[in-house]
Amino acid sequence: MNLLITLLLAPLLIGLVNKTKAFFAGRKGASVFQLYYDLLKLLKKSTVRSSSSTWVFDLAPIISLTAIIAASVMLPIGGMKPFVWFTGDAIVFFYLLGVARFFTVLSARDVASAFPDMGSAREVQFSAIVEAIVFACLAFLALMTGSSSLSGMLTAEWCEELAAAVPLLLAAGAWGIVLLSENCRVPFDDPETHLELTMIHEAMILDNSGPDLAFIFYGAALKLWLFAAFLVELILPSSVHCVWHFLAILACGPLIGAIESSMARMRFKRTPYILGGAAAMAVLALVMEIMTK
Amino acid sequence: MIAIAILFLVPILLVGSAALIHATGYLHGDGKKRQGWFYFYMIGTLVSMCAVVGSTFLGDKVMTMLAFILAWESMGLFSSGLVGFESESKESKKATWIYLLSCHAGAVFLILAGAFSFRPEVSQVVIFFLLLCGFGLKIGFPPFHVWLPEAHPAAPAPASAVMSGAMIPLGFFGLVFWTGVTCETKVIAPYFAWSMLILGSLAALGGILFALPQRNIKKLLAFSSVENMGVIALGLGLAAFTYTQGDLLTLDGKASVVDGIFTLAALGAALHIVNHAFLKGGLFLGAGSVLRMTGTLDADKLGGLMKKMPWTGTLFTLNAFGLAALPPLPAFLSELCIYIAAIYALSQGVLVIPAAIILIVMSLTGGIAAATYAKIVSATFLGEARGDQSEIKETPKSMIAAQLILFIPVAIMLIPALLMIAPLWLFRRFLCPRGNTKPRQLTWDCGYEAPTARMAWTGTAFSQPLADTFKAVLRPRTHVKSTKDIFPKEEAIATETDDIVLARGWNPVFHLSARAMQLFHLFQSGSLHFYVLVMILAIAALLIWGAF
Repeated sequence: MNLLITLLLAPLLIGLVNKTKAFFAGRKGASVFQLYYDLLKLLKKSTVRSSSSTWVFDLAPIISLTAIIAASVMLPIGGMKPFVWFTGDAIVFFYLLGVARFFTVLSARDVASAFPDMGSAREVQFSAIVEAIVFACLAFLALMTGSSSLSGMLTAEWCEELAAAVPLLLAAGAWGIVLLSENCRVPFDDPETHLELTMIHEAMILDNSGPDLAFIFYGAALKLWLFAAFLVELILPSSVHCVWHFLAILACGPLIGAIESSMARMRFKRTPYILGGAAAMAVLALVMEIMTK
Repeated sequence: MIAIAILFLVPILLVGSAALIHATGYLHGDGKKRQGWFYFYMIGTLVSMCAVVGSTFLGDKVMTMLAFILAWESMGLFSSGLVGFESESKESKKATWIYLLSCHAGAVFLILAGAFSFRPEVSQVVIFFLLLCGFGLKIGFPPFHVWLPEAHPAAPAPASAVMSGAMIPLGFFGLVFWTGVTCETKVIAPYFAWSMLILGSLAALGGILFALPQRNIKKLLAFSSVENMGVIALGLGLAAFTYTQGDLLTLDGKASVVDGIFTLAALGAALHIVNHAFLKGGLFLGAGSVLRMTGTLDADKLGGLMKKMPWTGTLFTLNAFGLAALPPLPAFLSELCIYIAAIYALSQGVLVIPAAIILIVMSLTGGIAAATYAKIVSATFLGEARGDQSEIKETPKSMIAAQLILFIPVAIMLIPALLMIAPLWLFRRFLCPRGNTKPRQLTWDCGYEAPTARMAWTGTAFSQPLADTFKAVLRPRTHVKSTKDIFPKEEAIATETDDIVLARGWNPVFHLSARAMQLFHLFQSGSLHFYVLVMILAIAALLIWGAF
């Protein structure tokens, strides 16, 4: 059930982000369903592939999307059990996203052009650091909830006192930064800039077209949904009705849009410092939890 | 014990046979005599590796010890013949020298440990640390890893495959076996666990960090071997930590928890030994094929090889995908076991600190490993060729067959992966109205019509942003040739990253000791009269000493 909703609603989240950004810019903006139209349009088009590329470029969009869908099978939302769950599924979840990234990077390198290369080099720079933050968060969650699978880890409860909620809020803060970085949003990357030099994710997929590009766009939307859902499940107790959970995930869209509208993309040299801050928050949460146990 | 022996014998025999098959193509064109020497060294190495494992079945402690040391030493000697086999160059000689030195230093520690183990007054902790130094030199724990990135690039590829895939992990075999024989588990478990945790973290993180900026394919693979040994050590360390929880076993029903952690962590370490052997063996053989066909191992001078060598390229790509420990390939499964053990320990509130350290270290290692393998695959095989490749063709069948032998575990795990991507592939192929009909076009490149391969980023450039983040550790040396004139002239930039432990740790030590040895040079004047004088003085001094 929640898998179906995830697969259907994911592009809507991107639409909400863009609508919010349009609102802040004083424009009317495209419909919130624009990505659905784009996907349909792209599926009807033919694919042009680079003559430099090999089978890696041909298969990468399919592998990436499959990996992301496989990951979304494991995410619990609103107290509903996911399709698949087992001890340590959290690790498989993030490693599947790693597979998607690995092949996106390889396909970007396969077209032998400086722009995708530039994007992919930055992508691996950020993601390598993010990986450690994610796992510090997971260690914290496992310790806090006493559970070793995602569906157990993501069942927060209301805290009686504020002090007990501090580590959780720190982890949620770290997760918010991870969300922005992993999904290539401002201040790490600007998906709407007009200069290839300054992009990360969009630069990597410059040479993709047609159904391939549709797969990539859909995968990116799904990934944003997964990270937003993770954030919501981290904070929102499972005793709240699941409709509110889905609404909260959708509410992440305007939130991200507001963040994107209120700040500029940071210089690439500075971005590792934000990630360092997120790492510090996650490790601090973990240490606090170890001390109190 | 039999099971552990098989665990180590499988990589030795399978990687060994694959390497021998690969060597028939790799040595093609070498003289009969040279080939003879190669097979002599190679089979000698393989036989002594089997003897190392076999010697532990002798039963009698003294006999076992003697046989083990003999087999261990002959393994080092035979393989040093392989390290120096490829060329007469200065680097090759230096690599052989460092390798021989580290082998013998290891043997010294082992002989000391063996001798002390018969003296009850020597503490078991001392014996354990002697064993750790002795076997750590073979495993390649920092700061003892320096021989790996020197010896592996120098040795012929089949030899590197055997040494990296099957020989280095034998260090773990020796360490676990001899610690078990000479020390009591209860006493040594905390020392074992903590040293594995610390050395494993250093090896995993340090190994992959230094692998990242390397241009030489085999040097990169050698550093990544250090990383994988680190991962194995982390698994073993977590398993050993459960022994320190002994008093919990009977108390509050945590017996099954601790058992579960032990089983998972030990299983992960054991599986990773086998998986690493297959994958790294395959990668080294692939690197050998690249060297044989192109004449260089410098990834920044290659590129686009997938079109010329589709078999080698595909196998190398998939092996690299596997060794980046990404699902669903085998190396992920072994790391997953260690991960699950750690996360399970955390969720049960047991061994919290080591488990948290292991999770974070392994995830950071995993992230950088994915970047490293993406770099080496893309720089070597993807994109456009940086240089003339018109003469290059696919390797002889024997070399591909050798790699296919080591590819079997990956192939098995690829079947479910292919089934998973099949629906989307079929969807794109048959349901998208205009599917894959267009012919391939030039890369878009902002509409530029005449791109050259030089416009794409090299492997070094690709890894530079991430390497820059860690430049406090890596200390890359950059040579810039730039012009300050108004008109542009030729400019150049080159970056090298040396092994910092060798450059700043061991080299100064060796230089200092060489200088200290210079003092003895005073006595080596070459004149007989002087020697006679010294001898008479020494005898006189001894007589006087004896008299009082």
